[in-house]
Amino acid sequence: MQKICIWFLTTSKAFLKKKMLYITVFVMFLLCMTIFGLNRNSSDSIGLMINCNDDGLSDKLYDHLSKDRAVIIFEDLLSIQEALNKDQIKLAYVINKTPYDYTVKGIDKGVVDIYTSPGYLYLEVDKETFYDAWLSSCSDLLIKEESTKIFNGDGRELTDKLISERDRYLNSDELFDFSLHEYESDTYQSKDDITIRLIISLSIFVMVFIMFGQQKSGENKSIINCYPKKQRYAYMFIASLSTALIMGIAGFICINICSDRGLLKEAVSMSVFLIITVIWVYIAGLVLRKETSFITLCPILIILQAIISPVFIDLGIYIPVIGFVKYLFPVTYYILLI
Amino acid sequence: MMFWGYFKTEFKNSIVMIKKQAIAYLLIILALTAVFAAVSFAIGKNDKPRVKTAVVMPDDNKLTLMMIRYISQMESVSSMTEFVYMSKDEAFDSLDRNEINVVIELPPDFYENVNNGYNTPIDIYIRNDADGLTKGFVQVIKSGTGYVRTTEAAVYSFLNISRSGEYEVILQNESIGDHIAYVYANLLMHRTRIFNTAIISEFGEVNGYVFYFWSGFLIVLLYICLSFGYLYRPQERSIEKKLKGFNISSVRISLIKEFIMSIHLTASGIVLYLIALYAGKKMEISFFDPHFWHILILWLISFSLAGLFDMIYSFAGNDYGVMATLLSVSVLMVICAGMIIPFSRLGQIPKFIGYIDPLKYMFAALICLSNNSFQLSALCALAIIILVEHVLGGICKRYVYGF
Repeated sequence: MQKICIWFLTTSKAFLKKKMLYITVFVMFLLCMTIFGLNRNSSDSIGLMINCNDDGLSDKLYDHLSKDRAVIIFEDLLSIQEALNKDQIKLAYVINKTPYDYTVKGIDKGVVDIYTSPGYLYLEVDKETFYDAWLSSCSDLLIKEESTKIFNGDGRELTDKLISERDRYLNSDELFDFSLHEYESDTYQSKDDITIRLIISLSIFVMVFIMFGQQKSGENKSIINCYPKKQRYAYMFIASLSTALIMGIAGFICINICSDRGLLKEAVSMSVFLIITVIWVYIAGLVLRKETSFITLCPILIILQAIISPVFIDLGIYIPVIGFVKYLFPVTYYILLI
Repeated sequence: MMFWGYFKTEFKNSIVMIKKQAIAYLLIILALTAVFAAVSFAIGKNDKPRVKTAVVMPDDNKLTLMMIRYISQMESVSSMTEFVYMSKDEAFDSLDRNEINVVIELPPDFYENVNNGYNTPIDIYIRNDADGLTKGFVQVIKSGTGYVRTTEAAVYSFLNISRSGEYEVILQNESIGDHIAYVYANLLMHRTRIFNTAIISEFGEVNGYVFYFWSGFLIVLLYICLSFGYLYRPQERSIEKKLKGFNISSVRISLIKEFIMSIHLTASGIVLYLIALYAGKKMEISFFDPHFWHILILWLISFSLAGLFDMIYSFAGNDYGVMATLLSVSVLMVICAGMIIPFSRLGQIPKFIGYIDPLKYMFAALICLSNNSFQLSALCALAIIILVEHVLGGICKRYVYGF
């Protein structure tokens, strides 16, 4: 027992002196903070610019679009570009044609230019939202156009009657509608939380994996080879455990800053993850003989675990075998363990 | 003479190392490609990820069930969602366990109500931590409901006016509703035609494919750089010390190593560039028009990447754990350069790091390259990066190894 304690203390001390520990922890914190602040500081507003004869169009579109999100009206493309680059808006609609051009003249190309940032995922959804507002803005003209094909009568008066009748329907509860409710779940877990968990678990995994590989190279190899075979494996296990524990403490602090799941729950899931990681790396270390194998495999294991862990996309839905394979890697346990 | 001798030896060594590592890297790339291909195939076969929706019907009305089944089999609906039928308790239990994403609760006698012109609203429930796909699905339902309401209101208003008998009707009364519904449906069917999309980054207007191609391109080059660790092994340090005795400075030695790295990186870059051109042609995506001077930019970028890694290796020393440092620094640089998450969305600290991140300027140079704009500022930025890397690398070597 005394020997184990000495091993634990010496390996911990040696690990704490390494520059790479501080660089990795700094990067881990920075990435977690970036993800943490990503949606909190991000604006959800949209921009609107009328590049044609307005004639009340901006008001109609503004009224419709501002029901769900804040709308900023722009005067020129340069300010749209600036707002996108400052993340003040998610996307901007620039209207080039009037509803008259669209409904009466039948021009449907280049009606709306959408400007957005790279990687914006909800463009198709926003197109539908915009078209809902656009169709509603075109509805008056459509009614006017169609009234002449259906009725014989005074155009102006008839159109006014049809529009007021339509508005009465729209303000009544006689049309199809739905109510949206949010279900308060006890097992709440935000997507940011899962991404942060992935970053922390991968950082810990990489460090434990690389430090284990280090034991098979240079001076470390000669030190370890001095021990009898049984003690050699015990020493390697304790060294991995000390690495995992130091990284685990850093990860624990980081996750508690970014998540409010509670200290006890976090401590339990972190402990389980650390034990699984150390055992996993230890078994892998028995198979991998050379330090170069660790170096070559490290980036691959990072990519593989990031892909198969259900953070970005749950591949288990598409390839059932991945649903089982993902449990062969330690990162999955930290992400899914509640 | 000694300088050229060292260059030749290192270059030969690099070829030997590439031959040794080539099979391993080729296997890894093939394995990754196979994984991506399998995933793409599987995703392609099953369409896109779909939202699981539980439909709760308080009565066993066959007509309501028939209507829901009809809606669920519509292509636009079935491509986004998968309907399952459950009791209210089962549905909320599944929602709580996150096994389904949305619960749609229909009111009693829903079909009869719709058929008789009473549109009792339906209730839709989503979790408070619903993912983006579910929120997007609900937003699409909202827009779809908006389309239906606009059309319904127009149809009803025409029917009411025609029934009032105030105006002479040209069309037959029965076909008025169909006619108005057709006009709106026709516009809806071609709604996507009205949109043109442009992606704006801090480098100006970019093509989405080009943006992510160059981002992937730089990540692959970074990955290749990780394999040049052999140039900085402890035995290399002793050779460097001996060469110093022959008046070959550490700066010149660094330049040789960077030049060798840049040759391999440029060769890999050209292969990726040609693949992009071929893929762009096949997929009818305009990546960029090929120009001979693109090779010069690729080489400059490769050389600055090599300089960057020389600097990191100089800083991290011959510690085995340099791999962890390199990985961390690479991830940090990729994030802070705005290559994955747009620069505008980053927080203050990553943005600050981004301003001094060489990868950001390399990325900007590549984006300029695809816009076919030969920007002097991009070239100057690359030249400054190379100079700064050498100064910092030199300082690191002096203090870490005493060169």
